[in-house]
Amino acid sequence: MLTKRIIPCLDIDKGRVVKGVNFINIKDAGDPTELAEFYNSEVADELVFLDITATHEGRKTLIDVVKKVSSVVFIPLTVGGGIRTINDMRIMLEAGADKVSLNSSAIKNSAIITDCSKEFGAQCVVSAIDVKKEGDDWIVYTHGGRNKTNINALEWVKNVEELGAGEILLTSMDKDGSNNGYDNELLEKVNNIVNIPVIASGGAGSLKHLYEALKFGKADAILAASICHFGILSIKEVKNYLIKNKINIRL
Amino acid sequence: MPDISILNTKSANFHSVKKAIDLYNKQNIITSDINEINNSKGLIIPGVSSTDTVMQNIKDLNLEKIILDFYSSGKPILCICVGMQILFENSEEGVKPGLGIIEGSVKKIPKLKNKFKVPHMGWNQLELVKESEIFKGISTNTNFYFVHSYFCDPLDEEIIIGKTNYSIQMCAAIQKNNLLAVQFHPEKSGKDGLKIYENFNKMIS
Repeated sequence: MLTKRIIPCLDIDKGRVVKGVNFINIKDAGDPTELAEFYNSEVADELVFLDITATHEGRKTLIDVVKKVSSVVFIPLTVGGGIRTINDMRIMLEAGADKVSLNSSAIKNSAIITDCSKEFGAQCVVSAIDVKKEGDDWIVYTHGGRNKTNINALEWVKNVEELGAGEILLTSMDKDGSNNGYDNELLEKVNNIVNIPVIASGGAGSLKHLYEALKFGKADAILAASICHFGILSIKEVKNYLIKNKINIRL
Repeated sequence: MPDISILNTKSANFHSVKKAIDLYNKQNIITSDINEINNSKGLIIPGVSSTDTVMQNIKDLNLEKIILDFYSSGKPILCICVGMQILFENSEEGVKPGLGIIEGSVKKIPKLKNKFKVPHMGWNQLELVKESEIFKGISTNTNFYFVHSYFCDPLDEEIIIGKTNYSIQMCAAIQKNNLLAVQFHPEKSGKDGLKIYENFNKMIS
């Protein structure tokens, strides 16, 4: 049986992790390599690096981060933030990333999904989508949630699958930071529409929330951000809880 | 001359494969050079992208005969993911014939009742069905990282050394003489995956 994945997300600013974990056995919570090794030892299933600087200099340091981390941690690595061209993507893959997530650039020019998918394979292309509920619809936002589009999320997810994305990273902006659970209604709808894996993001405040997103939202994976970084829960605690509740998890 | 050649088919994750093998043997090189490959003690054929792309690149780089000769020489070969799929006669993914070292074909993973998403992406258990040096120190049903939409279906089931279950039970690892192949990505499967590179390195020396 395929297991559900728990994926810590590290926000990188100028080569350093911001919002780092507070576990006692971490010496430098800002060092991406140390944190990646820590999460790997905790049996994280993948890692996501999100470049929040997205400046030219920030980008260079991110490439170094990916090179370093991929030499010591042998689990899938996804890099996102400011990837605009096939060449941006190639540089990340050659540095050691396994997948690249495309967000705003894909809304501006959806052909980038197809181009990258044809060039490197669909498994490398993660479509990151930020959405907000309005009435009965979910609307897609770009640029870290600052810009509203007129795109309906339930149409867009089908679209990115057809364009060649291999996976969807779905963030509910309503739920993000709320600590009151994932948008399971949205997750379930998206999971019924697409036939590619969906990573749930935004809203985790307790173990039960993670369970609900996997069980009722039918998510294939969970992006664990602040719930793990702030030392509220460890990946091990999360995994043990989910196993106890009969979710297929790798230990 | 290198101990291990990592075949450069132009479209693969050979950087990740190199980083993994580096841990056990620095005498390795990413190459498509005949001399370097022929003088190596072991060959790794990594694979990402599609079988047609890889077969086209193999043809363009004149690698077909090199691979077949290496296999005939009896030296160990480790094929990964699409690198495994190109060993077969044909694939439902494309139109180009494969190398045909293994009799059988590569088939699309069935989408049973829409319950199983394709690609099969993530960690799944590898059931060890036959003993092999490549799995030394790995217990059955250990999780490995898979990413694929097609699976290998060899005519001779005797060569299957590992299976996994995703909508159906499918072949996940084979051994035919000195030829070893795995559908999953050992270089992305944590410490258990690295064990495979460690074992392969022992097999060449």
